[in-house]
Amino acid sequence: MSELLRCENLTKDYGGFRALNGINLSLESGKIVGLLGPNGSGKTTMIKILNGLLTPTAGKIYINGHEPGVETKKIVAYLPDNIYLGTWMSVKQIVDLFTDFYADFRPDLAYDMLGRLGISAEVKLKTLSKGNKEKVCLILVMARNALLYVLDEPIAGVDPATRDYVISTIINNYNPQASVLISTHLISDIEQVLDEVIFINNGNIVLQKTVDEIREENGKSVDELFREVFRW
Amino acid sequence: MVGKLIKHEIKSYLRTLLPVQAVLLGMGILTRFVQFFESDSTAYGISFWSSLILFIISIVASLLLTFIIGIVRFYKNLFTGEGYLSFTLPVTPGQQLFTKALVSFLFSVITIIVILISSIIAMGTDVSIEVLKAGGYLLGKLFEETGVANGLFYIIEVLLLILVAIICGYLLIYACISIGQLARKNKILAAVGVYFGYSVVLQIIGTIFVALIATGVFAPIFRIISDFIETYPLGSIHIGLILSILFIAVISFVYYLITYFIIKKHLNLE
Repeated sequence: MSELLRCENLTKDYGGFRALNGINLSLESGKIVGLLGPNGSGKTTMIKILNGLLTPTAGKIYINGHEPGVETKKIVAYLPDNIYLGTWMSVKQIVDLFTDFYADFRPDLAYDMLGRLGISAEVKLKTLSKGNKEKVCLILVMARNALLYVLDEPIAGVDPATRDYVISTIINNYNPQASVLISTHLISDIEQVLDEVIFINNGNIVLQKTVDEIREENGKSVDELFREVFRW
Repeated sequence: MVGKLIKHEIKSYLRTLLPVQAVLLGMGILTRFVQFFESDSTAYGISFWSSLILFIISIVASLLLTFIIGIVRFYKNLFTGEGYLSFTLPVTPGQQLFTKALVSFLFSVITIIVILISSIIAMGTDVSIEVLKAGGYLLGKLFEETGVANGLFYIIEVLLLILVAIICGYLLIYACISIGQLARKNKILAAVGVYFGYSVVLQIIGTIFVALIATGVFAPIFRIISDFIETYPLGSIHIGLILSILFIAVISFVYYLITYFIIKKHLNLE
């Protein structure tokens, strides 16, 4: 197992507000990791820096040894926390776009997953329901053979059936050499698939442990520990 | 990768600009069609003038729309939700910027060509031939007075000047939008502010320059220039045109660098 992600003193200020406070972090490959924290704790900020959408105020982030750039974008599959695709595009146009740009994208797998959901390739994204739009976005991400999957709030705001679909899609499609970083505040739903958790609060890493360690050392589930750590 | 970017960029442009071009051609054909019923009646007069006015409006609208669509596309595709995809594709910010500028420019040229074609259609064959004849006559005159080589180069230089001016127009707005993104909030308002602020600064520089000329400090330089123009009238036009092209190209490059630097080093999508 090798180091896939490293943060060194990663800091981000928004005006006077410090969203990330000098984070140091290391993640190995082959893990499903939960990035857990309340709203506004810095989860999305960290994920956006990882994807090169935000520029850090200070510090560095390395993905497979590279700072965010073309090399990291080839190996990171990112699901943002909002609908980010041009809604005028048809599903097929979006699949074509992913096929063109990501060498690790598997269009046959994407069409297979879309077909099982009954989503036609010809349909325009804007005509789909919110839930189906989110499923399309997830399918596009999981149909890549990436080294690091970064999923920002993949199960927030969807019904329980869709939530199950999302979780099973993640488990069934990620390859064991890759890592998955899932940010969420809905811990109980995702707890059973996590290998490791990172608790983040007010821009600081509060805790980084494997789920087994939490169960053995604290005698608690991740959800219980989270509620304890973030009690207010 | 740039090739793929350009391909997808053109696809997204076609969706919005093909209808614009189609309307333009349609209006040209309509204006021509009305003329088949030429007569002295008031009804014909009204139809002809209204179709002609509509045609002229569609020419202006197509130019404006082409420019606006280019700007909106740049903003939406890079700085709104779509930017999440644009900036996570395995391409460099420079490639994104280059593609946006190139395709905007390309479609401006296409719009101008479609305007020319639809004008030829609208004016009808007889008028078109007259216009072409007049053009040919003027060209002959130009070649006669300046020599073929000079005349040809003047035409090439003027065309180049128009082309760099189009690119410059886009890059200026790109730079304003990008600088506006540095603001914490009201980013579009900030971009508009940057544009007007910049225009005001240019105005002030221009006024100071004119005031300086009025004081006569440049008189010796002007004398040298006017002597030169009198001695080499044909060459002076070349020098003037080429300097203008270079000047606009350098300014365009500065706008490009500003935009590039911001999306490379200060991208903050929220």
